[in-house]
Amino acid sequence: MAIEFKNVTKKIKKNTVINNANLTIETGKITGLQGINGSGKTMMMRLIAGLIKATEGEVVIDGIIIGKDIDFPLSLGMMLENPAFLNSYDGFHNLRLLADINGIISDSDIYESINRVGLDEAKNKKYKKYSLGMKQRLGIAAAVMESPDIILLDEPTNSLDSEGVEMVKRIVSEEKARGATIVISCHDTAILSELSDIIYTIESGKITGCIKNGSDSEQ
Amino acid sequence: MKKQLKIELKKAIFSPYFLFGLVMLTLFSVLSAIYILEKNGGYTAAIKADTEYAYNPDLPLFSFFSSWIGAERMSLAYTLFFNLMPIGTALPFAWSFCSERKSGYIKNIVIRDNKKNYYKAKTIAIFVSGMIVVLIPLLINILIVSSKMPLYKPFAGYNFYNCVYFGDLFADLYYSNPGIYVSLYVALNTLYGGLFAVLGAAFSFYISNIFSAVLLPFVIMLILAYTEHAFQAYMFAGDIVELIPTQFLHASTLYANSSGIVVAAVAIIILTFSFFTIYFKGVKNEIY
Repeated sequence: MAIEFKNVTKKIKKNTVINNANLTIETGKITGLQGINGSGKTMMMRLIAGLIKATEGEVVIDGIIIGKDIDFPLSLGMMLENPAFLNSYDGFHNLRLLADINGIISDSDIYESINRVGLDEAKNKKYKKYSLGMKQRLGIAAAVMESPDIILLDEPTNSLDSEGVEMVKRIVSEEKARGATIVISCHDTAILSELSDIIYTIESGKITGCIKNGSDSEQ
Repeated sequence: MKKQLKIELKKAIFSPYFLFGLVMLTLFSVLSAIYILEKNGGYTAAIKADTEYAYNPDLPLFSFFSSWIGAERMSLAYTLFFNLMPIGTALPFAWSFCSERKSGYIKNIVIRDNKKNYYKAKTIAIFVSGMIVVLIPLLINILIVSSKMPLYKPFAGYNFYNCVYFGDLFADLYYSNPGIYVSLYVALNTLYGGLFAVLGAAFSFYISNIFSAVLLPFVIMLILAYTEHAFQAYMFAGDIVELIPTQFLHASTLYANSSGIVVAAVAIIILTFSFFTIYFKGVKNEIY
């Protein structure tokens, strides 16, 4: 699923958080977003997810305009900022509650997702008793469990140990091999470079650079 | 929408806040029943023991219809039940509604369904959970009180003791068919339980602090009741009607007569404000 930003500007009150962004995220590729805190990486992901609407311009996914033709992309998995789940439920039941909305995956698929992120031993533990790293892992499991066409991962390696970082790399690669279009942001430039096919640099809501397969180009 | 509603109802029923609200109101209803059985039950036994007359006209004074929590006016428990009803009902699910929006959990849901379906399902689930939290304690109270107190039909000549006066809401039913009267008040309380719950959820769109939003319906009722009584002190009792839900939901008159028009108007105002706020503000607002 190709994602296009066509002259997208997003203003919140008087602040311009995304400034005339134009970019194309190719189908089946991993696109990295790089920038300092508050540069607009998460806002771009929110625009793709349909959580916020562009003040000007359009976000188009396979010819469908988000916020106009449909409210949210049809097949999307995401983890934006901090993962959030219900404290009184365990990991498995939290995922099952979400999976029940679409009803396209079975309990065994949920267990498989939990195993993929290494939470198999904690699947029956209440979410409120999870460590930060475990919460992050559950967030990743929720993002990928339904094999969505588009996956948005905002700082997926936050709070993870080295084993967890390797797990993220493995899952992202597996999802890419499946054909998913992945957008990822990460402060660790080395991880982002290792994973991404193309990296966009964002500064103050403006796309200032693009690094593709080792070559560097300015927009 | 059906799937979403099923999920939201499941979340509501298995929420610890739901259990807390239910236990709190049930505790008051049971305490009221215990108090009233000890008090009125004793009077009934004494009247029955007086065999001087073939029929003692005092018998209907202390029947089930004047002793269930909706009618008794003596215990602290009934005061707490009606005055804390806005908290007991708003707490269970309005709390989860506010925290889901604040924590970002809502993002997980809307990308899988859509905002309209989510808010529709959530509003219905909040309403239903609020109704259940009121209905169950009332039924428990009715079961306990009716198991001990006789079902004597109230006598209109003793309206001073029953506190259901001419002109009160459903007053004719109380003296002709009290069973239906009690059922109607249970239904009215249950309905208002749902309304208080959605009111708490609606306030969360205007107040960012969850605790304040959930407490606000209770605080508003308290202030309105205080203000109303302050003004009523200077008015002739026959000219005034009860305007505050926590007062007119009580099946026997506490301060002023209850009016069907007021009961319906207040319900419509709460319903319109809450549903429009949750649905339109919720669907329109962006999610960060």
